[in-house]
Amino acid sequence: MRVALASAIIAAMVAGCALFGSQPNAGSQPVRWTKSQQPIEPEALRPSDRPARNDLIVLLPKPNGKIGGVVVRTEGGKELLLDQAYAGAHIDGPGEMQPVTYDAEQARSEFSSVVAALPGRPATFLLYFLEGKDELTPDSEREFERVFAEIAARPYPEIQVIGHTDAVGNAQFNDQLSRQRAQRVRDDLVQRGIAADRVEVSSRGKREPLVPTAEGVSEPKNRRVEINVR
Amino acid sequence: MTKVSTFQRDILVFGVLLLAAAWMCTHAFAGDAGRIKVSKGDVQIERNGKLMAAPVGAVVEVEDTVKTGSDGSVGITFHDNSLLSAGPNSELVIERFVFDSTTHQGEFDTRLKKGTLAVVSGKIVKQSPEAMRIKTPAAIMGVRGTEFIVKVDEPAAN
Repeated sequence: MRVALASAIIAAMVAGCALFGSQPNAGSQPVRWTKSQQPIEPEALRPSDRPARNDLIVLLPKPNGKIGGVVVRTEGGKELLLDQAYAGAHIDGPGEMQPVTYDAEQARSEFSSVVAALPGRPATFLLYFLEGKDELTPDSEREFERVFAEIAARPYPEIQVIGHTDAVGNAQFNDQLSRQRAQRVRDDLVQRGIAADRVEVSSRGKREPLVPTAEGVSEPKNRRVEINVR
Repeated sequence: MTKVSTFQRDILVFGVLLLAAAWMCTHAFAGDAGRIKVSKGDVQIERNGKLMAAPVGAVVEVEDTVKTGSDGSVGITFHDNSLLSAGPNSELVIERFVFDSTTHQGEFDTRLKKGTLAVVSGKIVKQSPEAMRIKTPAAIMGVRGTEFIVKVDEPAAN
């Protein structure tokens, strides 16, 4: 009976999600065109010397890392993969798409206002601790100043602080130590003027070592706090 | 208690749970998607038919339309670290944003009705390429992990 009830509960949750969870605009189905998405004016209402559209998609060079690209699909099943810096797609009518190569200089000037409005890239920092303590290493004391400056320079900064330990000691000890380390960094940030409600604190004990080691091994790189700033 | 009443009770419990699950699914994600980090000139958010100011720090929710005037530009950081910015005379609808911060699974749909948009993809795309889609009146873009610009221009309509 208990088993039956439990499975009924699970079935109810799943069915409920399936029934009501999807939204009309949900992208869970393959993307398809519908006529309503494509308001086309009658030809007669348009000045004939102008194209119906002058849409453009241009890939930018990524500051670091590889370019995965973007796939552009139009009505009528046309598809273009942009995977090179300044590769572009020009659309001048429904289903009318041509590949274009944009000039870097032209892109910079034409799109300067929208690119300038991009928020700062989210950043991650690591601070290291003395063994068994919630005190930063001297190097990380200096790094903390840099992190603080970075946070203070951002508009409406949001910060995640995640504490970690190495594999010396039992789980309970390390849970406690990682929490103390994260809390310590948070307190230092708040004391320096960062609003307390913008700093989210969590701790992982010895569960997520940066350098995997055997149980009981002292590893300076694992005694750390990760700070995500955006 | 007879067998029938037990059965009826189970049906009732099932029904209540079904409704609860439905409510959770429709409401859990229909909210906070990101935050405005850059706001210059005329920038407004249209939410439930009402226009409101969109200063730095304002929350952007699913189903919001972000609008900029002729001197406006806006930059938004989303919870999966995706970044979007819009230039002057733009209209951007946040149609869908779902993100699991543990698995990094998610879905992100936005629609640029007019203007210019810059896109920097985040954790959703890193986990599942093309789970982020940008729609325009004439195309749909599946994002595989990159930075790009979209311009929607209808000279005939201007």
